[in-house]
Amino acid sequence: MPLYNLACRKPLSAEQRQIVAERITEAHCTVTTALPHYVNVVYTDNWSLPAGIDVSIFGGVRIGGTRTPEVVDRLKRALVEATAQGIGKPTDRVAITTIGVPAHWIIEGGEVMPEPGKEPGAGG
Amino acid sequence: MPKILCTVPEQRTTKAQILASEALFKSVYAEHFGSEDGLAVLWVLAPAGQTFQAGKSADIFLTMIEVEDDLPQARREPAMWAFTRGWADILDVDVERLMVTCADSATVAEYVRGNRNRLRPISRIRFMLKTIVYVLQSRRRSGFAALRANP
Repeated sequence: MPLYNLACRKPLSAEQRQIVAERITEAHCTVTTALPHYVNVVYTDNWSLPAGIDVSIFGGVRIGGTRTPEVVDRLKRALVEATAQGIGKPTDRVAITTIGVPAHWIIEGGEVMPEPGKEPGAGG
Repeated sequence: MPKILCTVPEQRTTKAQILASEALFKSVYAEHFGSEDGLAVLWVLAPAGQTFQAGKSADIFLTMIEVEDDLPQARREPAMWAFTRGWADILDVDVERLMVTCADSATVAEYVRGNRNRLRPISRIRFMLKTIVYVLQSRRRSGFAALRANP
């Protein structure tokens, strides 16, 4: 966690997928200071998205700890910008929704996930 | 009806591993939560090149297991570990490669609803019908219920 599922109207190229995944990872880690190892991105294609939307991000993110509503809002803006840049489209062509999942519901990397901000070597 | 949603890499997960995983999930679910009645296990087989970790193309193994709302952590966590260790054995991967979430029923419902609501409203009924047909066909063909990776 996080898990970002990107529903695309049309398949992105392999290069675009790579660039978007890198930028999403960077955006997530910059805003939250979480470790990149935990950032997962999944692409799914051929979605009948609302008019004007090319990519719809659906993110499951940890909540609690340092993950305040303000941080989540900043994160959502950063993810939309990262994705829009990666596909070469304006930000209004990218939609985003997130749901919050308490860290202690998740095992990842062989451990129960710590609350945001309590990861070893990270601040958020 | 409780659900278990799984995503695994299509190219490195065998049918035998999926069927064994499903048996494990049902057994662990019954052991920790009393019953597996009505439990539905749904699989997404992610094609190569569609999953990334840490900004790099990678195989990922995810499962979200629906549990009762407000389940105490003292009951949730042992189940999480039982699912994780058993699944790692079946997949023949290190436990560090897995993401296992035991999520409250309300959160799973929010997840499913949020995913569906990304579609144009006019497309949602068709999406649901196609999903049901695909699930039934995959169950008959392969013995497990699969969701389309790319609808």
